[in-house]
Amino acid sequence: MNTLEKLEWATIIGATILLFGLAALALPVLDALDNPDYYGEPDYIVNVVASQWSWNFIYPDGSESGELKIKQGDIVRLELESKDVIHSFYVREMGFKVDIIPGRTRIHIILAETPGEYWIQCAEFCGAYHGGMRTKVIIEE
Amino acid sequence: MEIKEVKKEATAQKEHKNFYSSWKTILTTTHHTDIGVMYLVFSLFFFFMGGFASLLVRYGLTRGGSIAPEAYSSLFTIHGVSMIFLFVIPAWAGFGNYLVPKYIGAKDMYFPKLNALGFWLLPPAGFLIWAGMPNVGWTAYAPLSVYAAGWGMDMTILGLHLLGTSSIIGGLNFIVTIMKMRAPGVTYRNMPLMVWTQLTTSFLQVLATPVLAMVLTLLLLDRNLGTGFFNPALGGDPIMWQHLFWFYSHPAVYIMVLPGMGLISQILPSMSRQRIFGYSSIAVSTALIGFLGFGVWAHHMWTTGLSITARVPFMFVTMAIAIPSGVKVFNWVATLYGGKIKLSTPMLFSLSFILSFIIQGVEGVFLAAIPLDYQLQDTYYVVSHLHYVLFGVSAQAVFAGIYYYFPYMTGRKYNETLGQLHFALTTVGMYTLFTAMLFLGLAGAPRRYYQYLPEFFNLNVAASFGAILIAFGALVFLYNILSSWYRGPLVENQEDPWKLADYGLKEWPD
Repeated sequence: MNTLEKLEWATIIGATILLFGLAALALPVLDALDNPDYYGEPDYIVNVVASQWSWNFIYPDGSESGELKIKQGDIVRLELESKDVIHSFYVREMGFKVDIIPGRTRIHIILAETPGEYWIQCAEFCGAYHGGMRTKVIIEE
Repeated sequence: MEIKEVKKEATAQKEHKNFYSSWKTILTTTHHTDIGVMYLVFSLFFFFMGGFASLLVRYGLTRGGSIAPEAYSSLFTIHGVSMIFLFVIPAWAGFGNYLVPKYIGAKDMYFPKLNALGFWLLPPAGFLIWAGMPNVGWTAYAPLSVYAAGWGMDMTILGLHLLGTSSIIGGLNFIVTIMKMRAPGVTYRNMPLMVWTQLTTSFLQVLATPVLAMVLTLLLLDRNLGTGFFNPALGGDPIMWQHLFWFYSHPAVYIMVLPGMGLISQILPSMSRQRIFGYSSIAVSTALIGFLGFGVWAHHMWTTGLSITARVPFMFVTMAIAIPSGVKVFNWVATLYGGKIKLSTPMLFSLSFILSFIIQGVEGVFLAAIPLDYQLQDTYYVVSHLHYVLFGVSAQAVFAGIYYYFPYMTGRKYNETLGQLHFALTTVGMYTLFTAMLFLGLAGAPRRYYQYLPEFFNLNVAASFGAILIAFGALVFLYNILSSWYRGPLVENQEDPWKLADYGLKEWPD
C-alpha cells in the first residue's frame, strides 16, 4: 500500500467517523424540530389561508387581513391551509418554510421576538403569478 | 487475398462512416456508432433549444416585465424538461452506444434493431414536449399539474412516456451487451470505468423509469378521466406525486451524472499520460452511489411535513453519498498527481468538471441538513446546486467527451484554439451565473419568480451576464464542431489520435 492509498483510506474512515459523529450530535436536536409544543401554550391561533395568488389571515376575533399582524412577545400558532394547489409559507428572516398541501392543515409556531416588517414569499411554484404572491408579517411593539 | 480482405473492410468502413449522406441510411442504420452519433446530434440540438429558452428566462428577469408571467412559466419549464430529458440523458445514451461496444471489444450492441427503436422514439417525444409547452415546472407537482388547462400537459406526458420507454429499452440493451458480449480478457475487474458507469446507470434506468411511467399514467388519468389519485377531495394525496416522482427523479440525477464521471475517468488518465489511480475504488463507488441513490428521494420533501422519524434516515443516507463521491474526487486528483498533463480542451473541461463536482457536493451536504433546508429549499440556492450538477458536471462532461472522442468519431481534428475559447467563455460564464444564483439563494430569493424584490436586481444582472458568456461559448462550440467535422485536418491515426501508445496506454482493448 503506497502513501496515496493510505491517504485515501484515512479520508474514507475519517469521513465515516464524521458522519456518525454528526448523527450523534444531531439526533437529540432534530427531535425538537417541528414540535408544536416546544414553546409551550400559544397565546392565540391565526388561520392562514393560501390561494392562487393571495394570502388571507384570520384572527381569533374573526377579523381578517392580507398581512399578518402580531405583537412582539406573542407566541402565535399558525394553522395553514390551501384552497387550491400547493403553496409554501416562507419568511426568510425567521428561517422556515412550510409547504401548504391541499387537504391538510399544517401547524407552525412563531415566536415574535424582533419588531419590524418581514416579507412572506410563496416558495412553491403555484401557477403563472407565483412571483406576485408576496405579503408581509408585521410585528408591532 | 488477405490484403484484399483488409481493403474490402476499409472501404466498408469508409462507406459506413458516411451514414448521414442519405436519408435512407439515416433511417435504416442499426450500427451502434451511427446510432450513437445520431443520439449526440439530437441531444445537442435540444441543448441549443433549451439554452435559448433559458436566455429568454434571463432576459425576462433582467428587463423586468418584458416576458409575461404565463410565458415565463412555460419557458423555465421547457428549459428544464429539454435539458434533462432531451439533452443530458440522450447524450449519455449516445456516448454509451458509441463507446461501450468498442470498450468491451464487441461488434455491436446485443439488440441492434431495438437500439434503433430506442433512438427513433426520441424525435416524436421532442416534438410532443415542445408543441405541448408545459407550464407547471419540470417537477409538475400535483395538483397544479392536474388543473393545468389545455392539451399541453397531456402532450408532455405522452412525450415523457416515449422518452421513458426509450430509456428502459436502452438500459436493458446496455446491461445485456455488457454482461454477454465482452471480448475474452475484458472482465469486471479490468473493463474501462466508462463501461462500469454505463452498467450502473442502465440498472438505474431499468429499475426507476417504470415508476415514472406509472406516476405519469396516474396523472393522465386524473386529468382526463376524473380519477382522484392526487385530489384530496376524492381521497387522493398530492404528496404521493412527490414520493413517486422523486423515487424516479432522484436516481435520474445519477443517471445524468454517472456516465459523465465515466467519461472523465477515461479522459483524465489519457491526458495525464498515466494509468487511472484506484480503478476498483472508482468502480465500487460508482455502484455504491447507484445503490444509495434509491434511498434519498425524500430529501426533496423536507418542508412538506413528513414525520421527523421518517426524514432522519433519508438525511443521513443523503450525506453518506458524499463519501463515495469524495472517493471519486480523490482518485481523479491522484490520477493527475505526477502525470505529464496535456492541457487540451477535453482536459480543461475535465478539470473544471472536478471543481464543479466539489462545489455541488458541498452545496448538497448543506441542503441535506433538515433545519438549513427550511431556509434554502425552493430558493435560488437549489437552482445553483442543480445547475452545478447538470451544467458544471453533466454538460461539461458532454463537452469534454465530444472534444476527446471527436477525432475517433470523425477522423478529423477539432480546432484547439476555438475549443479553448469555448472553454474560457463557458467556465467564466458558468461560475459567474451559478455563484450569483448561490448568493441569491442565501439572500432568500425564491425560485420560479417572474418578478422579485428590488434588492435581488444586481445579482440577477450578474447571472444574466454569465448566461450570455455561456451562450457565446456555445456558438463557438457549434461552429468549431461543424466546421471541423466538414473540413478539419485529418488525424494521422484514427485508432490513436491522442498518441497514447507513446506512453504505454491504449484506448480500445485488443
